[in-house]
Amino acid sequence: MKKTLLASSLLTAILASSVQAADINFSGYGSIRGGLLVNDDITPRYYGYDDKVDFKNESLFALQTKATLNEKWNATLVLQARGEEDFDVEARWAYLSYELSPETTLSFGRFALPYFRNSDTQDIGYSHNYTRLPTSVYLGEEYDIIEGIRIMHSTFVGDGDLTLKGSFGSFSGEINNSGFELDNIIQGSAEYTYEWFSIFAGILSADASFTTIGASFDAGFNAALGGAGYELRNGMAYNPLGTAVYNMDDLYADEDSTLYWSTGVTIDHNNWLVNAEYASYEIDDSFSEQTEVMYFSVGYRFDKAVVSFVHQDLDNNFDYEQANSSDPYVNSFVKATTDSLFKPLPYDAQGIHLRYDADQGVAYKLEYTRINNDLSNENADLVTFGIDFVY
Amino acid sequence: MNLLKKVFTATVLLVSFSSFAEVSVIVNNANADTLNAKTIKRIYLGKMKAFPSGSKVTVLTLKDDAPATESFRQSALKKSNSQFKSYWSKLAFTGKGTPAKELASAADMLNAVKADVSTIGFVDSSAVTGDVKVIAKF
Repeated sequence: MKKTLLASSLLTAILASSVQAADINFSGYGSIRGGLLVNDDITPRYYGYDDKVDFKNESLFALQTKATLNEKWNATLVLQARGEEDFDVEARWAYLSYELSPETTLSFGRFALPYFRNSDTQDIGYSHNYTRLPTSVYLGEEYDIIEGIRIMHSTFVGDGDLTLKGSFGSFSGEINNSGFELDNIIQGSAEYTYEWFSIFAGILSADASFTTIGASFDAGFNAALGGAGYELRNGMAYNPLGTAVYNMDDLYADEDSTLYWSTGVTIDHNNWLVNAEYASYEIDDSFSEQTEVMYFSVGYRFDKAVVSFVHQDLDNNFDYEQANSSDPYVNSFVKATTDSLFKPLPYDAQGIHLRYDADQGVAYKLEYTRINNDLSNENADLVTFGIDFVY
Repeated sequence: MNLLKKVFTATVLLVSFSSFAEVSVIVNNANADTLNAKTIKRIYLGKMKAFPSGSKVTVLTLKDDAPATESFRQSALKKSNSQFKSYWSKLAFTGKGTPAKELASAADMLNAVKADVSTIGFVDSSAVTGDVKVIAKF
């Protein structure tokens, strides 16, 4: 259970303001979703389902408390409980907002980090027409929270609306005991909406570290080449003749700069819905290979139902820039390490999603998706069904 | 055949009349702003948080299932109730806006608009009184 000082102070602020009878508003969202793989030749990563039906993986509940302190300031806390994490309650958003002008808002605290266009709404199933946002882009990783400052500005350009967003801050948390940290996060995005279409572009740069992964690279090196007389001293690799042949820093991720950039387009015209996103990211000078992700969807809105076809793809470029040693055996080790981390990842998937608006604030969802792993050329078929709601 | 056509036309008219009764968008009598359809749409979609004159706007709505609400969203905002709620769920839970304040009845709406110069609301046109100013009809 993550109980941050920030969250508890905000809660205190909100409760204290209730004494002064400030305007307090409760609302929330949630999803109950079940699913299983009806064909499980492979067990795809990031989806969290296997051949037994599971109702926990994608179910979640969230409660938002928003206190209007005065004309300019308000405090917001979103507590979220995910099935995936045994419904432990987490302060997903906890921030103070200051309205600089009707067009510009400054926020301070904890937010969902907008890596991609819809990152900050990915948990709100009701807000979109899919069961979940396409997994190729929205992997559902945990490092999607930032503690820092955010500025939002909206203005009119011609008959359209332009929204600019910027964030500055850091993230530190545990991802699979890798000691993952992101510092000096700087994010900016622009979105232009005109009647029935909108376009988006965003960029995020940060310093990334995986503090414990270096030790496993060292162990791998010793296991692979130690027997042949290679050794590691102070992060340098030496060949059996004692010549330095590789700087292990080129494999480690230690405050190495990472850059995400993404773009997207949405069309909603005469009940036809088109939605596409593309993003690319990499951690420079590290084990990381450039990752390119995309999805494209076409849907049609009937009276109370929306049917969408979604194609998605995740790819790595495997240019092995980090295999820059003069020693071929060391390069083989570096390539094999890279392959073991990245070769299993690339996949593409095609699916059909159905949304049915059953009642005020309640939508039923149904999905059938085929996921193809590029490496094994085998696939899995996923079926999910559920209810998304807002209140 | 001709009779069938007449019956059909009459039915269509009746249906469209019953589901889209005229709705009036109202503001306080002291409000001097002129608002066109585009501005009203921007205000209800959270894209404008002030009147064109620069003074703060307090947005009011009737309940989701009130006939006037459905008509207003469909004709003025070009969104069904579920599209409107989906749209707002993206703003409300990400700090981009505060949804309109919901009032229980047309009488409550008229009282609220009469009492506060910063408000904008809507009621079925048949409910409008001289206590408020009509700025648009949909």
